[in-house]
Amino acid sequence: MTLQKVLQVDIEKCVGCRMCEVACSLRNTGRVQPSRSRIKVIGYERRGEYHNYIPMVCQQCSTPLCVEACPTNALSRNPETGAIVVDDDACVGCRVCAMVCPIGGVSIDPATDVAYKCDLCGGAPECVKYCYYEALTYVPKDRLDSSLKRSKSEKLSELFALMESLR
Amino acid sequence: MTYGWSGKTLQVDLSTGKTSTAPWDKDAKRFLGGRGGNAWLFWLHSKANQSPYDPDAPVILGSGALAGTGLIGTSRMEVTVVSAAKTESHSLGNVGMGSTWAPELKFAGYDNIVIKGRSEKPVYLNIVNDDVEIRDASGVWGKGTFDTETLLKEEAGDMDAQVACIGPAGENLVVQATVEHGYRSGTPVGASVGAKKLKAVVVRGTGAVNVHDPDAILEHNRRLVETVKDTKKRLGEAIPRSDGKDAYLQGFLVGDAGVVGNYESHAWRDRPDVRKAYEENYLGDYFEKNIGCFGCPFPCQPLFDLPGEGACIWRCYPTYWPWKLWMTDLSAAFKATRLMTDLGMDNKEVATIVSWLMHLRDMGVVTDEDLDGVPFDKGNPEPLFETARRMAYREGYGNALAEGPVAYAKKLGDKAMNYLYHNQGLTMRTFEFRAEPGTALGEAISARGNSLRATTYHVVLWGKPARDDYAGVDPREMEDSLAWSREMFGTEKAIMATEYEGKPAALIYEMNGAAIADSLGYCVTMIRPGRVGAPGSQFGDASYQFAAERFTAATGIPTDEAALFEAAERVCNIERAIVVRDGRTRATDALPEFFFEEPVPDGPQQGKRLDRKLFEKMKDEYYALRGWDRETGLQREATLRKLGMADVAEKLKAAGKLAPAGEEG
Repeated sequence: MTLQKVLQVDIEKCVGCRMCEVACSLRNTGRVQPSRSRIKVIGYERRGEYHNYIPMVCQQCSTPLCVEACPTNALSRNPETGAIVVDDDACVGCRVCAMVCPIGGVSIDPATDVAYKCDLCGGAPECVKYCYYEALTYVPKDRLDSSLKRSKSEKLSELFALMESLR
Repeated sequence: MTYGWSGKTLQVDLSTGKTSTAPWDKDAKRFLGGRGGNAWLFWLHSKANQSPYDPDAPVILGSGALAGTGLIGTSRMEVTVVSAAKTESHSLGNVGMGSTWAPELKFAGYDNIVIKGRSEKPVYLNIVNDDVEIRDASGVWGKGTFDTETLLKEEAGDMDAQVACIGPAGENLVVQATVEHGYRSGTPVGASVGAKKLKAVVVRGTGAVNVHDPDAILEHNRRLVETVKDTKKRLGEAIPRSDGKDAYLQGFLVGDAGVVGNYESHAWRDRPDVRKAYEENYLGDYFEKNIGCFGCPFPCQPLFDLPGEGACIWRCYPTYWPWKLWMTDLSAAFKATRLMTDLGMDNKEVATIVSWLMHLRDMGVVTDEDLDGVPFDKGNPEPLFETARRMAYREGYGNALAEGPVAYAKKLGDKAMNYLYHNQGLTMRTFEFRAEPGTALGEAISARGNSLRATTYHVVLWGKPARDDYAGVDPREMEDSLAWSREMFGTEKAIMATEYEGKPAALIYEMNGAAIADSLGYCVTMIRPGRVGAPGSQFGDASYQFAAERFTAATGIPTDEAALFEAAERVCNIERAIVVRDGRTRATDALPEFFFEEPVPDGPQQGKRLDRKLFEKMKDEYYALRGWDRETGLQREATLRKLGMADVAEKLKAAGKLAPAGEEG
């Protein structure tokens, strides 16, 4: 079995284009409807001052509180992808999962009234394919750490280059 | 099921407070949406020679036909009004903007909005899906556009709401006032909105846009992302401004863009001290990041943040005018841009007016006393700030200027008028029309006037004498571009900036491409057809076919290059019908005498001026290619019928504005 992958978010790289919301809703509902996207870019904007964006999406927790809290056992982990998935028939729309989720990764679909959340598109997350600046990447679990560290080290490497040039 | 479009127009009457909807039907879809759709609504809802301050004058806000369909680059909105800024003709005024308002309107369930009537008190329109409310705007009246956006989002209790608004300039009916959304505004349309006491249109939509083939849309998007990645590998940095470097500033420093002063010089930038000043004063240190539009992963608007000042976009328009004021202090130019974005006014109009006043003062045509003692020395940024503020709040000399530069020139006399270069009241800004016949033709003939939309790229980019490094094009792709021109127009001169030959055909190709992009709501850098080696070519295939395939994926309507070209013809013809209805003729498709008489004084284009005979010959050819009457510039019935616009022809005929029947050509 291939190693599971993780949908990794690097918030510093997000430009706020919301292409992930478009892709997610197209893939999952066949229509363009950001309000039903499983991933949501939250904007912190004040015109004339700042424009910052944070993509929020289920991180498929190691100890998923939503699964533990669900009174109808509608949530479970897909062994192939590692994604927490919703059994639409079992879900009663009680919103307990949404209450306990630490990052707002699960909610109730306004159109179907059952829980909806990122299921990693069955192992090929659609959103990642359009994220030109790679704020979203789909990374094997064992390289998650080095991937994030590499990304964060870029600033340091610039600093080294600067120091080098000053020498 | 309707795909692509929402299928609905929202109609609002601010006098009665009534709102209703009308279907966006087959007749309307002839003009797609966005700029073309707005022109159609304008044709239906405006009267001949209407005043921008007539309560019945329509203000139209529209989303492009493909806005909200998820296709990368389809984010654009359009605002269309009876222009207050075109003080000498009024008629059609429009502006296109990106960011997020247009898709949000689609998610709310509308293609466009027609606003008529006039409110007694300041109001704003609040749209949340089917809930449309005219709300009291007294809390934001008088506020700048920055605060207005924040306050209205807070009032909506929804930070995802999208705001298009006017600032103090629009409230005070300053003709240079803009409608602002996402730092994107350009051509002034704000006074016509202020006249309605309408502060803002706030939109929030949670609905869906139906698309015919979701998989095809995703596939098109996937391929585009791959193309840009490939281009980046092939040519280095694919997005010219992604490091905060501004292509247009680079164009000034090393290329051939822009005139200096009030068309006073071309050689100023060649001075080493100026070049050094620009390079050293460049704001690169303050670059934050690029921000962009909804659904486009290639954001191209560089956001700069000046300490103690605040953030704003510093992009092509704001960067091309500092040298019109002989300014080397780019941080002052940036601050002025930010100020005017907040005041909601067109910084290009204001800067050009200041440049003109500096010129007049230099010649003693205006005195310091006329200008309230503000020091209009060339290169001094102070008059820019003072003029912007005084115009926005109608103080001192700014009050008169807020009625437009022509009115002010009339007060000063003939000499002032002779040095004011304008098109229907809109100032002529940075193009050297004397050396660029295609640009000149586009400026003279475009429906809106003052039209980058008509005149960019193919007709101006290549063959400039000073193209020594980067002037907006990639020299490595010049050969391909020339080959394309030979194939398309029979001569490579068609795309050489300083040539007349083949220009009308190249210009029509260019204008139609812009009309399609603006009407589909597509980013013009993305589908400007056939543009090889120019900005936007990182998107690879930017042909009409590119647009056609995407249009079909979104709407399910089979189409091809020829059909889209015909749709563009319709858009250009409905706009022509509007301005012709309001008095435009061949005689008024014109430019100031100056560009024919005074040669370029210095620099690489020295000695060039427009040749009247060749210019008029270009017009002959242009009208013939469009199927318009050569003598009068009026449209022919047969042309309009062929385009499926018999209804438009009927109305023009009734108004006596159709070309006389008879000989063709």
